[in-house]
Amino acid sequence: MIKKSLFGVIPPCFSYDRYGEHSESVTIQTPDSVTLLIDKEHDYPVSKSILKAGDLVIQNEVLKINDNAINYVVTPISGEILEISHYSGFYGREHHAIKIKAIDDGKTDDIFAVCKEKADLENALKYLKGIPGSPDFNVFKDFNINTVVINCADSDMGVFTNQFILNNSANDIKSGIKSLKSISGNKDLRFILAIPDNLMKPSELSDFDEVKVNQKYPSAFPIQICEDLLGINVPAGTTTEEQGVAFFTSETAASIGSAYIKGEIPFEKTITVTKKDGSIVFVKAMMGTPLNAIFNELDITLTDGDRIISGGLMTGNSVYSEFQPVLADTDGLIIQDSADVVIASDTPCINCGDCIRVCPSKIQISMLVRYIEAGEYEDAQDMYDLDSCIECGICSYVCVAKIPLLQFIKLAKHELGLKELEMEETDAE
Amino acid sequence: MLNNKYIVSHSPFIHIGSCISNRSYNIMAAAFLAILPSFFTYGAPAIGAVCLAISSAILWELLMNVISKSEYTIGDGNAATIGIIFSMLLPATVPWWVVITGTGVAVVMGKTIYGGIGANPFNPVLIGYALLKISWGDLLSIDESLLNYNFDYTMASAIDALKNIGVESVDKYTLTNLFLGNQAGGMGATCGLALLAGGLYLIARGMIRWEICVSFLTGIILTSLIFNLADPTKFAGPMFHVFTGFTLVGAIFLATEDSSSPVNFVPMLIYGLGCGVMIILIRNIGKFPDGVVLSIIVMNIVSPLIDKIRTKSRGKGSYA
Repeated sequence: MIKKSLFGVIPPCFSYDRYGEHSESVTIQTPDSVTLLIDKEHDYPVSKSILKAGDLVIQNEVLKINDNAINYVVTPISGEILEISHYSGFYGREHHAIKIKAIDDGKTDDIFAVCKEKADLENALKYLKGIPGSPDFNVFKDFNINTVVINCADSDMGVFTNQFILNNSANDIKSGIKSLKSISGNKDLRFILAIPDNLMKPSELSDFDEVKVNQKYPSAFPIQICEDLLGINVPAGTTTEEQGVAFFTSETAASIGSAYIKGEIPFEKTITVTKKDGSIVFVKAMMGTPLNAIFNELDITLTDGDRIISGGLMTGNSVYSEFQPVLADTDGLIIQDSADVVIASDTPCINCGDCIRVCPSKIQISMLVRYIEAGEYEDAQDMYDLDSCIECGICSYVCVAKIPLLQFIKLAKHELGLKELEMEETDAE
Repeated sequence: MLNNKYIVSHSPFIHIGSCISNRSYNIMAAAFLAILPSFFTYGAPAIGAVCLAISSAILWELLMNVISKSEYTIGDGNAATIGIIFSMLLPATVPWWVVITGTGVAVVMGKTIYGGIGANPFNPVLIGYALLKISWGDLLSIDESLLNYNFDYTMASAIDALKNIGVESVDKYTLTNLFLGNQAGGMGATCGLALLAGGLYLIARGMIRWEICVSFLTGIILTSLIFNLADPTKFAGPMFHVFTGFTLVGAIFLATEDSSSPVNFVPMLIYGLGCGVMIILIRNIGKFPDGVVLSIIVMNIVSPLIDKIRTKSRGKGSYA
């Protein structure tokens, strides 16, 4: 993982753990109940929801809160809706949580089977939005994409899901690329595989170009791949999509592939589970499965003060309850013992400069955080390069004062986003 | 398992393991190494003064914590570091009340009134020392304080002798004596060997920024060499300047103080060079014998300004 030299003058070496070519995985049985999340849309009050507790749903049914709603979720099991509740996500994101009790009636809605013949943007948007990896097909609509990178490296530390999929589902990735081409409607679309340099490209994928991602964190971040390996500069504050490069993870590609091969919407999510002792198990679980089903299966005992991390060590999210569901982007699940938990502090910046030496974006974080702490978000953006940050978290990792720098940066970006939204709304009026 | 409370916090979830107190203790260890020879030279008065400086600095900070009803911050070791570095500049026989006043000015006026650690625009030690020097210059004078000590080497303060007598006085001091600490001076400022060893340790451990230290000494050596080459009968050579006065304490402990020095690469070089050049200018053509305190304070003022020189961050350049 991360090695720190006794000689602090040498900047610490941040490298991804090497993935040890696993092929076994533990499959979690279909749970008694699943919880599915639908992103909330502003216009529709929940009270008008057409879904009600007690409604019966069948597998593969597309659930919407309202007939005109854009957001939907496809239920992986047949059963009865137990409750629909409000669910607060990270950074003010709001969702409807739909809890479904499984009833095994063998019924299934094969609405997607007709799409097997031809993959296009319409049916992809209609059914595949919530598949493992949560692909955003809108990029083909909103941007002029000429290159698609299938990212087979995991951008965060302690997560190996994409590498596992690359090793074990190369055929699905291959057909996923074919389907993505047809979804994009662009015959000249270029596909590039981004593969960690310690892994070989599987023979099934030999037709495609590859770039080798090195082991130095955060080289597997999309922007970093774009700049270092494709030679495309991404101006601060813009996305790779604006430069014509879209990123899909290998898991997403494999899910799309298997969807169009089998004519079934995939629900099985591959998760890298890191236990308290650091050992790694790959788990295949249905989306919506409560996390405690995984813990029970793997004999993981949790106690007060432990930390459950959904995602990776550097950019993941900690969750507050073991009944939270497995989501489409839950690539990793890390259990930290209470003894290993490091708490951030509110000590001010002492200006040691460690963050500046390690920042891959060359931001003067020591000044940036002073502006953000004072609530001067615009100045932070204008003068100290808030937009250049790729949110890798290395600065927080090295901070002597243990300042939650990444949290400050994300907060500033979030607040600026809200302000922008507000201004757009007043302009519209 | 059902009612467990889990810790929820923001990513990242791992930390490199460094902390401010560890940083302070390392700096204090290096400072102690430089002070150690003076314990053997001056005995109990030196030990007393150093202990008093450290303890009074901690107590001043505690007092300010109590008065301002803030969290107790003495645990981070920063006040103790201020105390020990302050004591390095003092002669061994300094009266007790001077030490307490000095650390009080350093901690209270130099640090806590700006908001504590990380917020001080000047190095607190220098503020304390400068105020004492203005108020009770005689008590801090090396020659006057150490009048009653006599060893088998020249007991006149080398840097003062250069100013008062002229370059011919330099011949009385051998480089070996200066390097090994056989000279009169501040408690932690005489032994070049111990200072350099401590400095190299701090640089290797990443506790101070080597760029400042190296450019500081480069500034001293280059400027004094130019003066020396221009007129050797009027100006002393570079090595004399490096091992006398507060030069090494300045390069290793004073100029590198975190919050009053720049953090970007080029600004650090400018800052260090600026300190070095100004010190030699003050020593050679200025009024004061030693310019370390004054020039570092002046460079502290410009530090935020020169720290604006920095490399373009990601995605902020011009693209062809």
